Amino acid sequence: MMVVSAVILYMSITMKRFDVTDPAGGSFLPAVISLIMLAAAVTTLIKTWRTAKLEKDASEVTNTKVNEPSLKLNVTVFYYLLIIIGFVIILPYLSFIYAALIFLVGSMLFLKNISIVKNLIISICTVFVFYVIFQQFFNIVLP
Amino acid sequence: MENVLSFLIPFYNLELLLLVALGTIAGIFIGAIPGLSVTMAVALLLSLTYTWEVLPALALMVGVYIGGVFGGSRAAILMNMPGSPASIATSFDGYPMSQRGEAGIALSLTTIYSVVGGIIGVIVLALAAPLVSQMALLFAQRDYFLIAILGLLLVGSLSKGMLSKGIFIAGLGVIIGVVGMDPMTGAPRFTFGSLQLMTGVNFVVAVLGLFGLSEVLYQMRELHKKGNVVNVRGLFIPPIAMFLKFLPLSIRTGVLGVLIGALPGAGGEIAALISYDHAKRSTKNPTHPFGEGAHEGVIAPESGNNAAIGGAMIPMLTLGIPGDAVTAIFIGALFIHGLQPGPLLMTNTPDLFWVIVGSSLLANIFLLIFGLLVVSIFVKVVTIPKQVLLPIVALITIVGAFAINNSMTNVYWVIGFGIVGYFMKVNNFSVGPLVLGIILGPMIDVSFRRAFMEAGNSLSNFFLSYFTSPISLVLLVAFLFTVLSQTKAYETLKGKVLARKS
Repeated sequence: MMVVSAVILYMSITMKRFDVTDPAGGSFLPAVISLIMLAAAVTTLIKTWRTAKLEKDASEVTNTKVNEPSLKLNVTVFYYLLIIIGFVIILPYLSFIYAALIFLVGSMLFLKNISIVKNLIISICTVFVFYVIFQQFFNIVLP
Repeated sequence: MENVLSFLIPFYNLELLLLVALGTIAGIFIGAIPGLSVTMAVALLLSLTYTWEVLPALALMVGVYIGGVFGGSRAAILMNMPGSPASIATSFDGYPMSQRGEAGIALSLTTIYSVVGGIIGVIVLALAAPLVSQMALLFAQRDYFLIAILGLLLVGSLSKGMLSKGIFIAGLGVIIGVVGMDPMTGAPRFTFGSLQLMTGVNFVVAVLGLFGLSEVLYQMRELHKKGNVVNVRGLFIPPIAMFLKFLPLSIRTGVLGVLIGALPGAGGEIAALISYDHAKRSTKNPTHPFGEGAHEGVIAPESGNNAAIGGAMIPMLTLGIPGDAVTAIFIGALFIHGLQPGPLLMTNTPDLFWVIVGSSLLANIFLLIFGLLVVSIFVKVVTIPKQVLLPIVALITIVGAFAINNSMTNVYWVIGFGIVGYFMKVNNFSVGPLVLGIILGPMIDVSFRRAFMEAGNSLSNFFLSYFTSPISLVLLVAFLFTVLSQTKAYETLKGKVLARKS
């Protein structure tokens, strides 16, 4: 949070064609906001330290796990994100119908608990309905 | 009087009646589908009705507008994915209600009180349009700045847990909101030299990513976890005592909604958030704590955002100023049909104004009928396995992002916002303040700079200007009170006063 605030502040100060001290300029307000963000980041840090200390003390007594900030992706989430990115990559090449069909069938296979027959029926129906609604009724040009 | 009676035309003209009905039901479903915005639907309708007569075209668009704003709450309640920005506040308590097995009650309550709010909006539109529009005309740039800041102060209500995290995220939202070409000088800001960023970050894309894709990813973590079985009730009609209990709140938030809706730029989303905040502050004993499924938490934003429709139409029809994105498209529709929105519209074609009023009232009646009848259809959505629902939602989100301007770039943005939103949720950051910042950022930026220039480029004159007009003074007092009400000192004082009273 502090790094993000500092980067925004730096960008506001060094912004071309604007003087950061001029309230009528385009960089004054972003600079003020970045300072407020910085203050909020420092407050959050202090509060988190205090909470972590209290949790640590409590965990030593109750032997429970302490909650820590996480940047880790859950395995299912990670693989599903890859499936979505794969869909987005093939979308312009295969056209909406084929890409969406592959995406839905693949997604339900990956997520399990749905029989292959059900999977195919749901996927085909969904793609057909969406195609009709978007393309034919709303005239949206699908990829 | 003859003109006033024109408002009955949609009630007896079969074509208009059917178009309003079709528009309302279509709007409810479009609004309910995350990724399909009411703005997009009305914009598409504008192209489809290009060759139509003006009255049928407007009747259909009014139906879609009113149905669409309402429909957004269906997905907010059932899936925690607001179908429209105006339904963000509804998800705070609507989704916990759904998880508690009260999806049917939440859907019915929001329907009934949406109609209450909607009718308040129509009444104000019909009776007080000139007065409210004149008041909005008196607002100076400093007042718009304060209104936007007041909206941003809602982070106190929106941030779940730590307020400082909410302030940080709201600030980040404001920065994202001002990315692109500076509207006053044309110079680039936070664009990293990218030409694509010159047009700014599309708000719809941010909402799709933060509320759509991030929710899909977040729910993947608990895919195999068995949730509580939702107690599904098809049609729930609240008893008279229950209806009357919440009526004063819905009237108050309806009036708030219509006033906010009348302000240019402040649409249904801000009306809903301020209404939610009002309910939170004014309700001493909610049915459940706010954020955990309070009935008041779904009633207030829904009556507020539906009332805002009537409010948004006031400056649109009387001054030619759009109250929100949808009314901006309406203005385009009026131009296409050779009409001049503004003060002359009511003088030259008063029957048109009254037909719009009549269509709005009729759409609210259809809203009540369809909203209550299709409850069971919407409730069935939550019984669909996540393994089926989540890929479909992901597909709609991506196609919805593409459909904004037929560009894959928006799809990449949605994925980016989806990942950011996922990590925010995992680390207990609320995405609400970020969206609020993105909405209000440009308004804060431009109104502050214009107000500063109006005050002769002097900060002292800028601050003193708040004491020169009664409107500015009232807004300043409201601002100071809102700031004070979020401090610990105020909470302590309030606790002492309440203790003394009891």
